[in-house]
Amino acid sequence: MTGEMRGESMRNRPALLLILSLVLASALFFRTDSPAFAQPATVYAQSGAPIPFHGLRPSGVTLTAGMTAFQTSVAISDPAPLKVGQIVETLDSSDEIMEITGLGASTMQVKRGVLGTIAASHISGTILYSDFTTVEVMASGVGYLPTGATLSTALDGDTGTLENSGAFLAQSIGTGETTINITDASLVADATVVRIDGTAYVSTTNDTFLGSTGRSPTCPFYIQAGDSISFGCATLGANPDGPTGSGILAKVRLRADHLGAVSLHLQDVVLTDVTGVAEPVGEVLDGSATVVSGSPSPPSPPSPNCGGTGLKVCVLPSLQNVGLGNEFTAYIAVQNITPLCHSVPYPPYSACFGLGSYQFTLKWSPATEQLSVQSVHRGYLGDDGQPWSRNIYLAADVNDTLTVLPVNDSTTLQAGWTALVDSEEMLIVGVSPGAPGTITVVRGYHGTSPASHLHDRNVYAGPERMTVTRASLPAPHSAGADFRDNLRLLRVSNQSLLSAPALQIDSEWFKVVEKPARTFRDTGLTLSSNVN
Amino acid sequence: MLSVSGSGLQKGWILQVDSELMPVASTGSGTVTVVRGFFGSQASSHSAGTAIKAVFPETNTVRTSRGFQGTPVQSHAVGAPITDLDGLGAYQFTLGVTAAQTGAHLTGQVDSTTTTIPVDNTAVLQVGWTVIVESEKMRITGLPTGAMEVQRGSDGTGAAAHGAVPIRGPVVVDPVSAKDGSLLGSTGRSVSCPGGVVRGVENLQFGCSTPQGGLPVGPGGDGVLAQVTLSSRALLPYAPAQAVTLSPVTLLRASGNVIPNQVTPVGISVIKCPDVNANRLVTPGDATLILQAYFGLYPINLNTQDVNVNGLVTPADATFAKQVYFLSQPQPVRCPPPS
Repeated sequence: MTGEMRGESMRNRPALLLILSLVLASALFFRTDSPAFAQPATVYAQSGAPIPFHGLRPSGVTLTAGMTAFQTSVAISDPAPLKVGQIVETLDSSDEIMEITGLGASTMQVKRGVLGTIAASHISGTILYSDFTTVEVMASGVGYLPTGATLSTALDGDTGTLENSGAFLAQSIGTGETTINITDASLVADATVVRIDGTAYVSTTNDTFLGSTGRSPTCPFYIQAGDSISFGCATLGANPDGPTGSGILAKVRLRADHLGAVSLHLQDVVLTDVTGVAEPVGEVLDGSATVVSGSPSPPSPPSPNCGGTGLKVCVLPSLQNVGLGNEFTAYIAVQNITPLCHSVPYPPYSACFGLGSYQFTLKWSPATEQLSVQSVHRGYLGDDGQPWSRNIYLAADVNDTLTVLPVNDSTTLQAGWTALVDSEEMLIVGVSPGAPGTITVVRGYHGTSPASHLHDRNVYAGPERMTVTRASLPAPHSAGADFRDNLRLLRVSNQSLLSAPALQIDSEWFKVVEKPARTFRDTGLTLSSNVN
Repeated sequence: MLSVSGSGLQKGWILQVDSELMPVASTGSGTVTVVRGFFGSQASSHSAGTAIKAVFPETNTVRTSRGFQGTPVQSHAVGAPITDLDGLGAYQFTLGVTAAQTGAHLTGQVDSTTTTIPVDNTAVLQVGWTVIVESEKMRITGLPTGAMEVQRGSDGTGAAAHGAVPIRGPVVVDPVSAKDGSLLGSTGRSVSCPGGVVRGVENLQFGCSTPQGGLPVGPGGDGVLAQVTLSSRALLPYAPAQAVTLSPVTLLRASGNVIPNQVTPVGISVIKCPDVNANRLVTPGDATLILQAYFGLYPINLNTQDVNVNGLVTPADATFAKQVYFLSQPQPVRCPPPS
């Protein structure tokens, strides 16, 4: 028995040594909390009550074989809760108490019928009570670790704030696509919302022209769908007559979320006189805006002049500069509307009428669209999170500087994908298709280190991408568009003091996605010569 | 190859000039070699003086996901302190209950097999006790004049030779086993206790850990590290409190860093199993009978009612009985048959 017991203890020791090694390694290689910041935790044993001598409670151990009244060794379900010297009682009709004299891996040796009880036979499954009590080893005041770092810029509590992600669309997407290739998935890992920047719709209102003669416009026609607004207003009754001449029909407010050109395309324009007869529109003219950095002064409300002569409907101003992030107005103007004369079914049987209603559709590009992120995938990982195996491998040994790598088959690879070889990431910037073929790469991408790789090493490669749920009426977007997400950039006093995968500021927790964060901004450098 | 106005661009950065995206393939003095019109953008001509934007790491910044694990998103002021959510990741402790000195000593050298061992004072020893001589436990089976008859190497300890050394004992409380409590895994970290329970002569060593680093966050605050079962081995007059020691205790953060800690000692007593009405169960009825005996409403019986073994039946004995009852809920403690 004793030998078995010793053996059991010895079997436990190598594993314990592993823990001890961890503890020792931690003490040697990891820091201990600085007493300046962290309060020590308190550890204590908590006992609910005194221990009743030989008090018996369910041990959780059962006999796994029957035993006669004479056996002194019996199979049990688990020796771990028991110890030599304890007493156990069989909870059956005999209520025999035995003293444990030895324990094996699944057996128990006992002295039978102690403490005035009588040895009896017991069946398999008999529950054993043993004399034990439980104390709890408590830890109190285990604090998280103050770092000494502080916020350098204030942070608002707006959950809707979206910040530039630093990533771009790596492909143009239509309205039906929900897997979107992007330049760098690691920048949007853990984002739940992204907004592909373009031009966002704000509002549309009827202007003064239609009601300028005293008629009362109502505007029942309103369909806002992604990158367009269809809008219309009408007046009722024959008197007073509708307006003629030139004026502003409506104002469409948009927000410039993206640098560059914004096209404002006017279509499906319908004008009618007060009787509902359509006025023939001679020409419909589009407008545009250029979104620039800074905040250029907004243009004054334009005079309703589309240029030239004849009945025209146009977007004014035809070109305007808009500051990034600012709202701007596209005025829908009508020029030179004249009374429309036609027969009427009542005296004088022929009459001329002014404007009674209008409607139009304004479509802009690029549009802003907000998407819900379902998942984000690094290029070299499949949707299951495992390396994306395409049965592609290096066709020769490569050193740590070679940028044109031979592979067994490059026909399925594409420029713009990220590749992983061993632990080095690479950006594929060129592909010479073939089997075998070559790929041209930027080595040591994403902060990994260029290294030598052996022939036959796997090349895992694919597009950085995210899967999204699109808006109910999604808009198309062009490759190269940047986008925002709901991750937040913390500016801190000293990032080297931060080491945990999550942080606490006040009572809010933050998951660390990237440290230091990559941001998209001006480098302060310029081209020093023209580039064609 | 682009000529640029200064230095600092690095390989792998993504540049944007006007709306054209260009990854940097290599850098030189005042130049960078880029891949033009990349990521679906349109290669176009650019004028000297055009600003170069880039995606690049910025000092003292952290990209984060807010409101992690359901915490409320708040405003935070400049200067707000930042805490690493680096909670508990592992623990290890040794729990011991050290036997006192008996006052008796071995009177000379004994080998590892002798079972009748000369001692200088048998009056302080009792048959049935488990005593400790150096690191060997012995169970006293007899006390002839000037000696103790023992079972050697009990409780799995090794029988060994001894000189004239003190005898400690009796073993009143014996650590038996341990299992992980609720704290370490409370945030969803995967807990393993690879070393299991390592039993020493008068203690046990136990520890559990979680994978180093990563998420979920390790727990903070208060909680149960482990549950340790103790067994009663002897009942002493006046039920003196036995010091339960915890040493050494190691607490590690999920990162592996050491959490300093201080241990608060506690004592635990072994009392008589309070079965006054001889039904073998500890119930409130037993406490009531003790009180009735104290107030003269029930016959005094020191064997069953003097729970703390101080020679008196007092309300304190009833209190102990109630504590045992409440400790053992929902199933009552069973006591051995009345002797």
